Amino acid sequence: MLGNKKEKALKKLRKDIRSGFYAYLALLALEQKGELHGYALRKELETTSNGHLVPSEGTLYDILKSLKKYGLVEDFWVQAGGRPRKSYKLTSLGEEVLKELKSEVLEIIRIAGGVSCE
Amino acid sequence: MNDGFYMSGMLIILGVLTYLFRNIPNPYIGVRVGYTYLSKEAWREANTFAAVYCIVAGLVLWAVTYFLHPPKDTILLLLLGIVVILAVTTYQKAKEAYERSDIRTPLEGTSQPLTTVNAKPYLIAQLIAIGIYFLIAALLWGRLPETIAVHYSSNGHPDGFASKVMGVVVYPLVGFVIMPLFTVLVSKVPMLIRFPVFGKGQKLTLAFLTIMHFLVVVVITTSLLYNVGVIGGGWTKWAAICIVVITVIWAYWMWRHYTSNPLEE
Repeated sequence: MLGNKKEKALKKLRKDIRSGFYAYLALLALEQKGELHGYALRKELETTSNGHLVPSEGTLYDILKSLKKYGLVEDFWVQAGGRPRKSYKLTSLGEEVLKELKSEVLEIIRIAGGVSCE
Repeated sequence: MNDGFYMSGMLIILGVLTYLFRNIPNPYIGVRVGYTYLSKEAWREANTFAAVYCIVAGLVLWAVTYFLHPPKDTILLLLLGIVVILAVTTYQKAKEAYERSDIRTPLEGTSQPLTTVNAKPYLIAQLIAIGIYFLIAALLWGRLPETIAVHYSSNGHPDGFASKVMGVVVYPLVGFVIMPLFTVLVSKVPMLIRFPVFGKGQKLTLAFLTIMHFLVVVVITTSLLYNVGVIGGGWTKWAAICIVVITVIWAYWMWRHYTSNPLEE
């Protein structure tokens, strides 16, 4: 019963932390690569995290949908292999937001690192 | 009241047929938009939803008709609401399913940008045609009778009538809105139509919509001229036949496109 509660709590916290981090990493990858197709973006996250942070396609879809909703990312059609595919790129608002986020994330990492060392 | 039973029956039959074809992409039965054409998953999700929705909506419409005996106009409004919700939600379902499956599918080869065609010249041509119609209508207004013919039998004789304002202004406006609306939709949302057309295909689609619009304007203008006695009802019939011929040619082109570009997963 207690183990179940612990698993539930861990699952919830992991989900919350990861979804924010995925969004940040997705913005970062788009900034570095310029534009990426959804599949390539997922692969990029896998590569940069050494396979530790790989969102499912459903999760990545929801993240991209939410980033689009806030105007941080825009999608456009490309043609590959004879069919239309969706590609994504950062908007100017996305660039601005990412710039502010970078320093905040570094600060979080510094604080989290300090706390875990104590 | 019978209309309610008829429409609910149609919805249920439509729902059952869609359910039977929910796993079988085809060009005839089911939700056919760009997304469902391109992805079996999008086809399955959109059609399963559409099938269940149509059956439930049909049963609700049947119950409303049976227990409340609403007038025909209320039933028509209900049906319109049902169809609008069906169109929006199934399109959304198909879009989401396609984009999810797109994320898990590796990119083959190098990607080329897909640009959408500028719809402005087509829209301007369509608006000019509407302007010409209303110019003719304004010039002929004084010569038109208070009740005018608005519908014709297959041999060109009038069999439907309306007041001058309704027949010259309101009904034509409803007809004139359709093609420009689709022109905007096709240029902005290429996946809304049955085949995801880009580039040349999109230009052809916009040209087809503009030709259809011209023919609609011609049909309504010939009716106007018939009502002032300038021409016979046969002209309206031939203009209407042209619409059918163009539609058949377009349907053939779409069928060729479908068979030459089989669905891939």
